[in-house]
Amino acid sequence: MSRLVQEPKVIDLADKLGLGGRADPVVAILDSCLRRIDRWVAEAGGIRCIGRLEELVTRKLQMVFEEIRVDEDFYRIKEIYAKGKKDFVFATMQMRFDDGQNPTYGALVGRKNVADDAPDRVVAVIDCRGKKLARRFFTRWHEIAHRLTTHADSGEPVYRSEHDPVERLMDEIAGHIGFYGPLFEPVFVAAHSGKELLTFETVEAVVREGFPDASIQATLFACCRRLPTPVIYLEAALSHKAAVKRAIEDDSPRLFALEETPPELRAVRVVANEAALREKFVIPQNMRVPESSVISSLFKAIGERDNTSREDMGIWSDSKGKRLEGRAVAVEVRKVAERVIAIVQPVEPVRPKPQRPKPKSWFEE
Amino acid sequence: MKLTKQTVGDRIKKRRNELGWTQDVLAEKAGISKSFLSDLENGKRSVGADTLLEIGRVLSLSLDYLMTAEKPQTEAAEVQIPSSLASFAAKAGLSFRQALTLLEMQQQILAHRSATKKAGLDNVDWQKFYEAVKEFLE
Repeated sequence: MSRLVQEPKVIDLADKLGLGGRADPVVAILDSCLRRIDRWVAEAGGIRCIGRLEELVTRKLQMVFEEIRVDEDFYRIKEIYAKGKKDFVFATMQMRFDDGQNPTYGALVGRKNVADDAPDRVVAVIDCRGKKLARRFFTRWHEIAHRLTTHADSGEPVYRSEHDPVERLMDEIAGHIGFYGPLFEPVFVAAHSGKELLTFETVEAVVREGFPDASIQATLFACCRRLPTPVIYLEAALSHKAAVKRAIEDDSPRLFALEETPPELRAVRVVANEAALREKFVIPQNMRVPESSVISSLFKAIGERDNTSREDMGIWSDSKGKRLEGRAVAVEVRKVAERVIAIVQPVEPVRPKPQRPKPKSWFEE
Repeated sequence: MKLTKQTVGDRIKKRRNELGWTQDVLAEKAGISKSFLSDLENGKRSVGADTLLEIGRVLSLSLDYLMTAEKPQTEAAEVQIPSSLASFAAKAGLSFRQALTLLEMQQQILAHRSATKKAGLDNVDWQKFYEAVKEFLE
C-alpha cells in the first residue's frame, strides 16, 4: 500500500474524486468509499451478511454482474444486451475475453441505451471460467471498487494490466469493502479468539461463518490486514531473479543467447501487515526461499498439503549472502496448485542489535 | 473541501430539471435530505466532496463539471478518431458514421483489466472488433 501512495495515477484519481491534497491519497479514496457504504448501510437499517451488502451496494451504484462460467455465456450476454437492449458493444465480449495475446479478466461497461434510473446502467462482465472461478468473490468487489471510483463520463476507455497501480488500488479497496469491517470483525474475533497466532484454521472458520463465497487467499489477506500483531503473507513459486526475468521478457535483439538458468523457489508475493511494517519485519519480494525452510520442503513434497514449523529469519539470505535479521518465527504453509502460500509470524520480540564497542577517542587516556 | 456555493447548485438544479426529477427524487437517490438539496441549489449551503460525488453519480455528471462547469455533459465534444480506427475504416470502406459508432462502442468500456500491459484506443484490433459487431451496423 505504501508504494501506491506515491503513484501519479493514484494521486490523479484522488484529485478527480475531489480528494486531492491529502497526505495519503490511498487512505483518502478508501475512506471515501467506506463512508458512502456506511451511509447506505445506515439508511438500510443495517446489514446482516456480505451477500446482502453486495446487493445493496450494487443497487445504489446501478450495476449488475454478468459472469462468464461457460463459453455459451457470451452468446447469452450478446442476446440480452446487444440484440435485446441495443448495446452492441456486448457482442465484442468473447473477442475481448478470449484474446490469446492479452486475455481480459473483467470489463466494466457503461450502457448507452438505458434510462437514468435503470438498475443496470453499468454492467460488470467477469470471467469465472476454470481457475478464475476461485477469484469470483474478490473480482466482484474489485469491479464494485471501480464503480465507486469511476464516473459515468470518464471519457477515454481505461485499459489496464492487472499490475497497474489503479488496479492494485482497486484490489486494496476490494479487500476492505468485500470484507466490510462491521461484518468481518465479529466473525474474525470469534474465529481467532484464544489463539496467539493466525492459522489457516482461523481463516477457514472466517470463510465458513461469514464469507462463504470468498477464497481462502482473499480471506487470509483480510485476516492479516486486521491482525494487530506482525504477520507476513508469502507466496512461493518457481521464478528467476529479477535481472534474469527482465532479460527473458526483453525481446529486443541480443548479441549472445541467454544463458539458461533454471528457476528457483522464490517469494514471488510478499505482503506484510501494518504491524509488521512498523517493526520492519519483512521478507524482500523475490528472495530465494531457503532450502531448510518448511516452505521449500512442502513445495517438493508429494501428496502433502499443509505443514508448520518454527524457524529463524536468519536462514533467509540474498544472492550476495546478506542474511535477514535473526528472529524466531512460526511458519504455516499450504500447497495451492504450483505454489506454496505461507503465514509467517514472529514468536519472539525483535532482538536487540549487538552493540559495537565504542572506538576510543584520541583524547582518551 | 468546501466549494463555491452558487454555481454548483445551479448546475445540479439544471441537470435535475433536464431529467424531470423533483427535489424529492434526487434527494432520495443521493441519500441527502430535501432541505439540504434545496439549500444547495439555492446557494445557501456548501457541499463536501463525498456528497457531491454521490450527487454527480446519480445525475451522471462528473465532479469536474459540477465544480468547474468544464466539459458539460450535454454538449458534444469534438470527436477525435484514433489513427488506427481511421486507417481501418478507410481500408474496410466504412462510412464516418460507422467509424464513429465503433468508437462510441469502445468508449462504453469504463474499465478493462487484462493480463498484460495497457492498450489504448490506438491498440484496439478494429478488424476483430468490427467483425464482432458488424451484424448490428449493417
